[in-house]
Amino acid sequence: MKILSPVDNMAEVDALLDAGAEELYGGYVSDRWLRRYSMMGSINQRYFASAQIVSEFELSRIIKTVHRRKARFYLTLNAPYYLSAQYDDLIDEARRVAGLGVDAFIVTDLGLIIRLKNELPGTQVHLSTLGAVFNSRSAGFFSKLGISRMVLPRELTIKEMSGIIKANPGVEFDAFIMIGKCPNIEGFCSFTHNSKDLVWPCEEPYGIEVIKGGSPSEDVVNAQMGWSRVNRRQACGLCAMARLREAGVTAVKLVGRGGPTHVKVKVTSAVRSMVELSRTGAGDEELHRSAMSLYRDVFGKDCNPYICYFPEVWRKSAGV
Amino acid sequence: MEHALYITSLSGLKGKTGGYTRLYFGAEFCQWRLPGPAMLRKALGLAGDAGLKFTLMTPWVTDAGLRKVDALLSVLADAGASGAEVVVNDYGVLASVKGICPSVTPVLGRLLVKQKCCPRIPAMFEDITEAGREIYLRTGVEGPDAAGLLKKWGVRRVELDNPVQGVRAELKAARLKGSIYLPYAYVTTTRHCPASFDGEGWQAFTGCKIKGCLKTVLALHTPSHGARILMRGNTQFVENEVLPEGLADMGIDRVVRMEDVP
Repeated sequence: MKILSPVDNMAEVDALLDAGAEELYGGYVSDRWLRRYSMMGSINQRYFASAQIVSEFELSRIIKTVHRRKARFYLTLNAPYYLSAQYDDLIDEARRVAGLGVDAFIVTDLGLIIRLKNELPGTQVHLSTLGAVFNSRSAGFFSKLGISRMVLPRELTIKEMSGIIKANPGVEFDAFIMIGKCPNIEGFCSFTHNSKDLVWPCEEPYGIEVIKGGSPSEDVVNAQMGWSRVNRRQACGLCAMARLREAGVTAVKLVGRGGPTHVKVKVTSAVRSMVELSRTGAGDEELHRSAMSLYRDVFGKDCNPYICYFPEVWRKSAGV
Repeated sequence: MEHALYITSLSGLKGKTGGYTRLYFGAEFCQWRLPGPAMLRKALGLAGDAGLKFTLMTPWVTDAGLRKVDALLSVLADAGASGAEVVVNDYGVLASVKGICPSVTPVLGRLLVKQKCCPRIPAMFEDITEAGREIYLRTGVEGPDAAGLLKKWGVRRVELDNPVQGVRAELKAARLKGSIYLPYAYVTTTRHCPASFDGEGWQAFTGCKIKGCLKTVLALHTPSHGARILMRGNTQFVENEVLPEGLADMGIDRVVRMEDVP
C-alpha cells in the first residue's frame, strides 16, 4: 500500500519523500488562468493561493525531483465542472504540464476526462473524490471512460470499499487516511471554500432553530453543532490501516494542500509507521495502541471518534 | 411550460395536484428514505388516477442502496407507465436504468449537475472576473463531450437549481432540456446525518431507523451567509422563490415545485 501526500512547494518534496511518501499530488493555477477566471474560478478544487504551486518553474522542479527519487507526481485538474468555453484553455494547460512529466491528472469533470483521453492519448487519468463513486456500478461507469484509478469518498465504510474494489479488478483505488474529514460529501458539496480566514461554511458555529416538527433531541443538535467543536483538520484513520490493506486499497491519501509543511511531514511519517506495522501481521490491539500513540505524537492530544475516518474499526479495536 | 409537483410523502399529494401534469416522488438524497416497491406501486396508481405522468427520484447509493433502487426500477419496468422518468443522482443508478428499465427515461439529477448554490456566493461576486462569474451562473453539463456521453446513456433532460446568485444556463446548444426546482436550492448533503445520530454514531452508515428527517426541519443561521440554510435530515438548502427570466431561451421547459423541504 502506497502513501500519497500533498505537496505545495519545492521545499517540501524531499522531506515528504524521506518521511515515506511514494507519490505526491498538488495543484497549479497558471497566471493566464488566474487573470481570466480569478482564484474563485480555480482550475482545481482549491480556492486559496497557499494550496497552489506558485509557478510552472516550481512545478517543473518538483516533478524533476520526484522522478529523480523514483516517486510519482499527480496534478489536480478537479474543479467540479468546467464550461464549454474553458476546454480549449484546459487542454492547452494540460498539454503544457504533461510535457513537464506529470504522471497523471486527477479529474472530476466528464467532459475533461473525455477530452484528455482523446487529445492526450496515453495520459493517465485518476478520478477525484469529487467523482463520488459510492458503489460498484458507478466505478464501472468511470472505468469504461478509461479511468485507471479512483479516489473513494470519505464516507464509505471499509466493507463498502472492499465491495467496490473486488467488483472492479484492474482499477486502483485510493482511500483517505488523515487530515481534512469533511462533514459533507465533497463530491456533492456546493459550499465555497475560499474565505480569508480559511474557516469554511461547514465548520462555522451556526445558530440552530427548529422551524418544523417537534424539538429534535439534544443528540441531533449536538451532532450538527459538533463540527464546529472539533478540528476536522486533525481527522485520522490510522488504526484502520491493516483493514484497508485487506480491502485491496492501492494507496492511502493524506489531505492537506495549503497546510503547514511540518504537519504534512509528521503525518506522512505516522502513516508510514502504520503501513509498516500493518505488514507485520500485528493484532488489532497492537495496531490500535500504536495508532493512538502516533496520533498523540502528531497532534498532542487523544484522537476523537467524531473525526475518525473509520469509526467501525475504532469502535471494534477500542472495545467500544 | 410544464409544471411538476415534487413530494416525498404520498400524504402530500391530497388536493394539491391541480395545475400539474407530472408527479415527482421518491428520495433525492438518502437511500434510507427510498420507498419500498409497494409504496412505489401505490404512488404510480395515484399519479395515474390524477392524470399525472411519473418521475421517480433516486439518491446517491452504496451497493446496498443500489439493490433497493434496482427493485424499484423493476417495478417501473413492469408498470410500463407512459412518459415515466427516473432522476439519477449516481452514475451507478444511471447504468441500472439502462440495464433494468431501458424504456424509462433517465434524467440527470441536481447532485450530478453540480451547480454552485452556496449562500456566500453573491457577496463574493465582486472579487471574481466576468469570466469567473460565468462558472457560478452556468452548469457543468453544457459542454458537447459531457452532453454527448449523457445522451449515449439516454439522458436528454437535466435538473437545475435556482441559486440565489441567479442562473444563466445554455442547454439548447447542448440539445438538452432543463427543469428548474422551486423554492429550495440544494446546497450540500452528508452521510453524517444529524437526524440519524443515536448518541454513538450515525445510523445513516448502517441503515437508519430513527428517520428524524421525516418530522424536523432546522434553520441554520450564521452572519457570514446572506441567507439562512434550511436542513432536513442530511441535506441543506437555501430558499429562492424568484424564477429567473428567459427560461425558454435557456432550454428550461419544466418547473418542479416542492411543497415542502425535500
